[in-house]
Amino acid sequence: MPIKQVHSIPAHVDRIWNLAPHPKLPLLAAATSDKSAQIYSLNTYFPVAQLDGNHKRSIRSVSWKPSSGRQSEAVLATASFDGSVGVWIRDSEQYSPNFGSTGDSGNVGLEEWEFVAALEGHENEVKCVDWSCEGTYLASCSRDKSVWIWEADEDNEEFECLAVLQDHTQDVKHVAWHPNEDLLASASYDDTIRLWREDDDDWVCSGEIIGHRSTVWCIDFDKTTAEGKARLVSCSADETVRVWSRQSMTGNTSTRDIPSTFRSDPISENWQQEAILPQRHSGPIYAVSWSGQSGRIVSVGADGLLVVYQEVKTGEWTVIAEEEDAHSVFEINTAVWSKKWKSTSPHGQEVDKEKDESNQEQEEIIITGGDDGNINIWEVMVQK
Amino acid sequence: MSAILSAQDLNDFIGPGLACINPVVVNRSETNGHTEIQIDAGGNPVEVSVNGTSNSATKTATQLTPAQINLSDCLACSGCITSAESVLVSLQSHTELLSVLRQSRGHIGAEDGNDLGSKRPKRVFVASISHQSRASLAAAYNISVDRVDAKLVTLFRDILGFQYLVGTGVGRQISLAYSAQEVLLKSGKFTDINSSSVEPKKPVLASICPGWICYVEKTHPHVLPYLSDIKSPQQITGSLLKRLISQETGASADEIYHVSVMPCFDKKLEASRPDFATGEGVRDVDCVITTKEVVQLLIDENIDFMSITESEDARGGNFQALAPKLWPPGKSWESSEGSSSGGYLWHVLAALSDEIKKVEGKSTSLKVIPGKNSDMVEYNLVVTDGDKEEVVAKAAQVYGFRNIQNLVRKLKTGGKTGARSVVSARAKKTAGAATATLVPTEYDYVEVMACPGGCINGGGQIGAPTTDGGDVFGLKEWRDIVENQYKSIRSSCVERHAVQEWVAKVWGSETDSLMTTSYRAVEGLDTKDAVPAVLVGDKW
Repeated sequence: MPIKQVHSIPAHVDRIWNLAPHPKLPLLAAATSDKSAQIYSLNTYFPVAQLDGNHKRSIRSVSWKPSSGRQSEAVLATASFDGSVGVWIRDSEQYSPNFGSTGDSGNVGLEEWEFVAALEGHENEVKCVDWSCEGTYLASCSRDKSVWIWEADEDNEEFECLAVLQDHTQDVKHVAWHPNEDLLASASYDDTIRLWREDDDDWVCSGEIIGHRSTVWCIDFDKTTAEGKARLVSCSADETVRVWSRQSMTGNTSTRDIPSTFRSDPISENWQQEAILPQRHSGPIYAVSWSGQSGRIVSVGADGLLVVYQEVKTGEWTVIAEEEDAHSVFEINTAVWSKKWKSTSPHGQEVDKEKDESNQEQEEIIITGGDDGNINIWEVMVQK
Repeated sequence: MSAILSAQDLNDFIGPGLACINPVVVNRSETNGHTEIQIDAGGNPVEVSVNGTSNSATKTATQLTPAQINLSDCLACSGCITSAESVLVSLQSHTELLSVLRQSRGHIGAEDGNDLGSKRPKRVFVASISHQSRASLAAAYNISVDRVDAKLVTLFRDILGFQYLVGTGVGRQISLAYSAQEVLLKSGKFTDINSSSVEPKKPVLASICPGWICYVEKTHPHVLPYLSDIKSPQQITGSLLKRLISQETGASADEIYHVSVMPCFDKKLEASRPDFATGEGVRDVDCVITTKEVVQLLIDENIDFMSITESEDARGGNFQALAPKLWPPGKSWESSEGSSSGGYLWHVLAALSDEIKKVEGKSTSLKVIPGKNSDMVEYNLVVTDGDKEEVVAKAAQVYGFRNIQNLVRKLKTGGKTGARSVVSARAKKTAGAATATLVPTEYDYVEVMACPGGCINGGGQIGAPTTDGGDVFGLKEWRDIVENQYKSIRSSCVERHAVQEWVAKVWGSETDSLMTTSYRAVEGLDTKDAVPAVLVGDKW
């Protein structure tokens, strides 16, 4: 069996909307329908904190700030249907960096995290938030068709609105930043993906990707690209998963000392479709994630199917694993790749490292969340 | 010719709101049977309650009145109307203007004794033109503003048949003078001119941008107390014109049709505010048309702007022949110091500086602190005493929606978005900050404009020319060109006391009706709590 469910966390909510693993710490954030964000330890799969009491409606999306000054201080942004974005901080002075080691029975009391900022301004439901690669910017998008870019001060309390971008013509579903450039991508109900960059002191739409025939639900960047290159994967209600790559860029990004009145080239980039991944889904595909570790892509959707793809050579992909009814009869809303923190299985059995040939592939896991209110953990076993 | 009209859509810079905030109120009657809407024999909609208890349904029918939303209601909404061209076109547009002109004269042009609607009273037509619109026309046709003015005189008076044509400069001077005075009173710094009835208030926010006002009234009512009470140049000009022309010609205010040429569409909404109409519904400004619509009017009437003769009456910037008798000669065509959005910030700072000099005997110098982007700048009035620098007044310029967001948020929370109170964060914000951080409660005045770049870049201004190959000018380049045309207009000083004397002479002592206005919060559906009536598909 190429893929196996190794664990399931019952979150005791109606629905898990979104999941986000912390980039460095063994923490998993879950956006849930009961107006709270739940934090789990990826060492033990036990709950660490419940962030509630501030949002008035479901939390649709969560995102960890990539780096913060203080070690093991975790900063989480939450996007809610109540129209606001919340920012929460785990006080590193109060809690030890140890998030529970393997073998704990999970009797730790839940931590209290601090709600430090409420970003208001969107007219209605905020669908997604994402921090930029170095945590400089926070992007949010909403049903009000706009994408906002915010900048935080060092303490993550003062947020300034830098841009309100209204180029999309419909509900914006997802925003994602490039892994090392200050390039933002957004996906919308208007079937397009837009790219945004800073030009002088203004954020502008530098490119548009047209090709999907229906709502684009989710996008993720390739994290293994060489400098100057960019690729992203998108999934849509048109039942396709597509990979796009940037062919060229005009308008200078490097020679910033030329005053704008002399430059007549507007900043722009040209993206082309590189591949349509093998069709497997029979319903809207709600989430894609591109692994920074293995380069594999996972997609999940309304049909309850989980599919894993591998790139054979540039532009050519095969399906290496599939799981039907991954959340029984329910729709799957989110899927993310994560480093595998837990080195033993939940039952405490040691994995024999010498005998297990596919040990290397087990260093990452897939985490999915669905309408059944469960968080499922998967491992891909790949035959050589 | 059509190359001059840009491909930009007709929208203003604050994006449209989604929900119509004027909900249709349905009166539920006591009948507990279900009702349906049917068309009766006369073709009118009726609501019929079907009483289901008996076999033969007994029906009671109530006549339904059509749901009505008029322009004044939509004023509250700031959103769907500014983008809904069809609604605007029907009420205030160049086609409406042409039709009114035709009705009054029979045909556009020479005076005609037999107009078609012979029972209608003869209307007096007056136009006022904003400086930004003149600059935009000058840039678009690549001629000087003086030549544009001369052509406009011929266009409005000789071709279209207007009796009066003025610039908005007089209205602006009055608006500037009284705005400066308001800030002096509210700054709480000067005890000698402080009348006890004025409460100190910081900051005072400019209220002449109707896009900004609509946004505040609809979504951020907590900002209302900070808005300046002074009317915009458009409206002051309107009030003055209607009264002076009425006195001069004997025509009543509703027989005077005042058209104002403005750089944006939100000015149409400002003209329709109920505050700017008299009890009988007569408005100070009857119709606002944008610069773009002037060009459209020329196209529709097959008039080539460049071929219009440049009227002699415009020579010397005098234009006295086209203004009411009591109108100060030339002043209405002159611009003022400061920004191309009216120079409010400049005049307030000048007034503060003068007053400090007069009262405390100290000279001030101006320190400019740029903000995060070109639309946000802070100004400090500084008194230097040896090597000590004391900041005696602060003001800021905040243009564009993204900067307005920050302003509005900080006014709500008093400077902090967060719930945590951290002393160290406060210590970082020193007076000598390298870039301006917006701290509204420390400012005496903020010049707020909804459009990035201010009025010169309004949604109704003419865009950069394009050729088949693409844009000839970049957006910023074009803005600079229009701005330079604006700056080429001769400007004059605003002498506050001279202005006040003139106002007293011309209007009388009851200056509030000329000068001041008020704002109110708009009650509407809270869109965040409302669930859409139709959920298309489960996932959203």
